[in-house]
Amino acid sequence: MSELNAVSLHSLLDMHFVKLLYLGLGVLTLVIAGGTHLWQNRHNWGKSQSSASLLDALNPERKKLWYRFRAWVLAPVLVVLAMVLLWPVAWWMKFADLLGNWRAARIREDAVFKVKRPDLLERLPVEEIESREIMRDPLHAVPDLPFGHLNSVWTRLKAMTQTQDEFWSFDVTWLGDFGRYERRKGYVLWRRNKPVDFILTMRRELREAQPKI
Amino acid sequence: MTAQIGENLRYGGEDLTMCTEPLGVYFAMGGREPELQVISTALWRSYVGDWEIVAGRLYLVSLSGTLADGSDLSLESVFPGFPDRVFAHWYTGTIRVPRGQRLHYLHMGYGSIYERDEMLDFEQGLLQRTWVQHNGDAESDDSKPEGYAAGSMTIFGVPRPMRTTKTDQPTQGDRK
Repeated sequence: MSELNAVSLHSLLDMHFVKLLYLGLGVLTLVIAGGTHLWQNRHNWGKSQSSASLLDALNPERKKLWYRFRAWVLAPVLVVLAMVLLWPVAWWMKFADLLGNWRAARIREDAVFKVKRPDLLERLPVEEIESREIMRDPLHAVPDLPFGHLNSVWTRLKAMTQTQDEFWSFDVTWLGDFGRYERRKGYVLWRRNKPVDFILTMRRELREAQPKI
Repeated sequence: MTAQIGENLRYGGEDLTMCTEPLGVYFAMGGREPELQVISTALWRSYVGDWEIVAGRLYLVSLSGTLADGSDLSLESVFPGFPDRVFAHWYTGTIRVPRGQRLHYLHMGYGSIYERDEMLDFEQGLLQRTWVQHNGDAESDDSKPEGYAAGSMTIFGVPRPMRTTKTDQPTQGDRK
C-alpha cells in the first residue's frame, strides 16, 4: 500500500513539474516577445504622449474609463495569460512568419537572373572569347571589336577580373519576367565557385514555355 | 496599357510596321540606354526606330524620340560613332510583322490580331527564315486599312515633331 502511495506521489510530482515547466516556458516566451517588441519599438519611446494626444482628439471614446480599463488592464492581462498558457501557438506563429519571409526572399532571389554551375558549358581564356566574339559587317555598321556594340559591357566585365578568376560560357533557359521562358547565352566571370557578373550574347524569348533544353 | 506604336521596318521594298523591339533587347543586355522623355501612353518606350533588312542583315538606320534634356534622340545617342547605320548583331529572336486587315483590336501592347503575321527569325542579326502565320480572314471590306495601327492614346504635354506620334499611327495601307 505504501509502495502504491509512493508511486502516486511520484507521478503527482512529475505532473506538477511538467506543469511548472510548461508555465515557465510560457513566462520565458512572454519575456522574449515583450522584450523584442520593446526593442523593435525603441525609436518610438517618448513619442507615445504626443501620439496619444492625437488619438484622443480623433476618438473621444479613448478618454472614458471603460475604454482605458480595456486598453490598459484587460487587454494586457489577456495577452499575458494567452502568452503564458498558449505559448506553443505563439512560437508556431513566429515560425510560420519566418518561413513566409524566407520563402518570399527565395522568390525575390529567383526573380533575378543568375548563372548557376549546371549552366556552365566551357572554361575559356579571354583571348579565345575575344576571338570568337569579334564582330564584322560588310557595311561597317559595327565596331570591329569583341561583342561589337556591346564591347563596353565586355570591357567592364574584364576590368572586374582578379587572379584565379575564370571565364565560362553558359547557356540557360530561364523563367523570366511575366512568366515567359527565355534562352540566355553568354560568358560569366566565375570566382571561388560563384558567379561575379556576366555578359550576354543571346537573349531570346521562347514562344512556348519549356524547360531547359 | 494602351496599344503601342510599332517600329518601322523596310523589307523587300515595302515599308512595314513590326511589333517587336530589338533595341529593347540591346538595352536589356547592358547597352547604353539614354534617358528619354515619355510623350505618350502609346509609346512607353519613348522612341521609334527605323529598321532595314539588307542582304539578310538587320540594321537600325535611325531613331526618333526626345532625350531627357529636350534634345533629339539620334543613333549617335545610343551608338556613338555610328550616325547612319547600326548592325543589330545582338538580336536573336522573331520579328512579327502584322499584315492584312485587323480581326480583333486589343488596347494593350501589341495584342491586336491581324489576318496574317509574317514572322522573321533572326540569329545574331542574321535572317534565318521567314514564315507566315494565318490568323483568319476579315469580312471583305476594302475601305478598311491594312497593316498594324495603334488606337487612341494620351499625349503628355506638347510633343516634339516625330514621324509616328500622331493620334493614329499610319498604317501600311496609308503609307503605300
